Amino acid sequence: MSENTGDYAISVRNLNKKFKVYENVFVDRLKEKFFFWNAEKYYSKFDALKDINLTLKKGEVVGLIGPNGAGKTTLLKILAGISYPTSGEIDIKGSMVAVLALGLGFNPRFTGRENIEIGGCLLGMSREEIKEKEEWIIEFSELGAFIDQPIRSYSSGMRARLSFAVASSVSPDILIIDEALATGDAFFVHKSLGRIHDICQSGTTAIFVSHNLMQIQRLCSERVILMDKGTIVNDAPAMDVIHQYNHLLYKHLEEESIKRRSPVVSSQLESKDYGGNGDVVITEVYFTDEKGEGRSTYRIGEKLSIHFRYEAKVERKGLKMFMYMRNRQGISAFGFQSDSYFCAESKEMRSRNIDFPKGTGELVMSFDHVLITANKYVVSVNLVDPSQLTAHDSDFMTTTVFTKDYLADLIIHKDMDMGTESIIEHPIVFEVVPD
Amino acid sequence: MNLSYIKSNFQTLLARKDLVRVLVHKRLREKHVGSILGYFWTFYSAAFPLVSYVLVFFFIAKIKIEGVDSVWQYMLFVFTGLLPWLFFSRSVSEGVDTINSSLDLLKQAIFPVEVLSIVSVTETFLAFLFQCVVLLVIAILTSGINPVNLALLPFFLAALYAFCLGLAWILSIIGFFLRDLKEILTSFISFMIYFTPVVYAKENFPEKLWFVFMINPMTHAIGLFRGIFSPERFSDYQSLAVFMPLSLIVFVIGYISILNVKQTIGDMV
Repeated sequence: MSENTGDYAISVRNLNKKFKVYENVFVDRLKEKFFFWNAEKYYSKFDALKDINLTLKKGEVVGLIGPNGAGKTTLLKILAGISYPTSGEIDIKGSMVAVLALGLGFNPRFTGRENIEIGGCLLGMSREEIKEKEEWIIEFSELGAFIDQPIRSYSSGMRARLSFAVASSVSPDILIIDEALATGDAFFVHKSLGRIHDICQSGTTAIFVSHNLMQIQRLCSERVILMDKGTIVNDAPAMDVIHQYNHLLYKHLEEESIKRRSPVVSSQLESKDYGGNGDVVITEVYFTDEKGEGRSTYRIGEKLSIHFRYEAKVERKGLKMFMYMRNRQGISAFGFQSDSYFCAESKEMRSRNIDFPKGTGELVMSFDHVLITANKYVVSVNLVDPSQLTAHDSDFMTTTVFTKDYLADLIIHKDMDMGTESIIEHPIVFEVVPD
Repeated sequence: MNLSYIKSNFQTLLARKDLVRVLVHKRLREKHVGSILGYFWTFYSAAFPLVSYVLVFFFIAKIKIEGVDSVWQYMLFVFTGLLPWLFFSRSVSEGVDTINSSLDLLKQAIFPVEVLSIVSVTETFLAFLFQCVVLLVIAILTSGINPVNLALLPFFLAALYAFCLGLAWILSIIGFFLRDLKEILTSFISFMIYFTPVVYAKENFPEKLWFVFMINPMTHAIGLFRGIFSPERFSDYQSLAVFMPLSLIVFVIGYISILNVKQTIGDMV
């Protein structure tokens, strides 16, 4: 550490941040102050940042990534001077601007020019500076004569361009940017990223926080810092850190699903929970891997078996089954119909009706390789009696034996070694065939 | 909390004086943009209560005040009480909400929290100054003013500004932690005007309630203001002796409190 003191822009040593969490902010805070000898009783502590050490050289451009709640924003707020550390030292050399949101302080009834003044002032510019930069801002935002119109008459794209132009007109020694800034149409996004790139090249020390790993990789290829649970986990070139980040995300997902004990999704079904007459009821859905062990997180391409536990009150024969796996956006990523499916054993399209004998049992559906995109999935099951379906019968319910969605928490994730943006969904063969 | 902390905060504040100017201008524009009468609302906002108080208390309640005989004299009398009162009540009722209404800004922009109350009180103060000019013109044209008194005016204005700003800081902090304060204050203030010598003179107040009357700081502020705008030489030294030090104390307490809770607020937004 000692050899490069002097040419750093930001130096953080042993930074800790504890939040006091009060149940009732006003009453407990008063009690804490009045009964100070017993102050600890009135709040619980939460460690937001634990022993952060960080040195940024002048002109260095650094990305900051981490899952939600990792402490990124807290660190930024402390660096920016909005929040204060519980202990530790911060040394900042030079002027600093933090762009934590776009279009801050804008009033829709004011003209673009007036909003430039307000926005610029909130970013810490003086009025002279703003006057100097006004022309540049108007030109960059491509607003032309509209600049003297109230911005409520702007399109959202125009507003986004103006707010980005104001935010990026700053020229401090140190720049802190939170979250994706480049918005608007594709052309303007390109222009904005170019502008950020220029700022970084101009010798400004910059810290970017973003969930957009592509942007981080592009802007801060040299150094990315990964935070998790209030500590710095890794501090290395972008590629390595981003890999680790993906791994971390996957671990978080898995922990979450273990906590909720959800390889088995069971429920005490009541009749109102599902549609259908209840002759056959699926009571449980769970997933097993190739070893037959229950888990809920799978890599793309792994073997996956879905087990449906059923309870048949009467014997039902010749039922048709529909199964869908829908992602969190509600889009069906995989659909299965028992009357036309591709059979793995015979390698051909098959049609089968399913017979349920009276009693309980299990229906197992296996995929040798699960080939759907990485996401969390909801499994829906429908059992339908095709013999009761007539051409005129539009009343779905009368023929439905069972239907229900399971919040099954099936998590499919990418293999860590596949890189960050590669998604392999289906085995694809393609070749160039010349005439 | 030490002197160097106060000093560095004060320097930051000075460095951001452009911000105060722009934000005050913004608030003024926000209030008046799009309305036909624009800045003249500032005048009407004082004229409406003035006319109604004169109607109620002079013509209906037939209040008797020493040295006030005609309706014009009474109007001037109420005006000199009403202006500081309006400034005070607006500073307080807007001041209690300054932090709460700017949580977005506090979260996302780097700027000193104390600026919020400064902006709010300054904007109200500008309207007050404008009304004072109107009052001054009317007073000179009608009953006249002892020119010696006017030397006191800048000091009084500074003290009233400091008093309201200090109070706005304190209330904004309490209002941030205790959301109910805004409602409590709103009703308290509309009721407090009757214990303040706005429509009547100090002498009209009953002896038994003298204590209530004297702990009301606005009694002294209005006494001072009336003394200045009177044709006779200023003589209300009691009000002067109470209000000047009081305003300084409130200002200092307010400033120290807002610097004290700055960190807590930074953590909570």
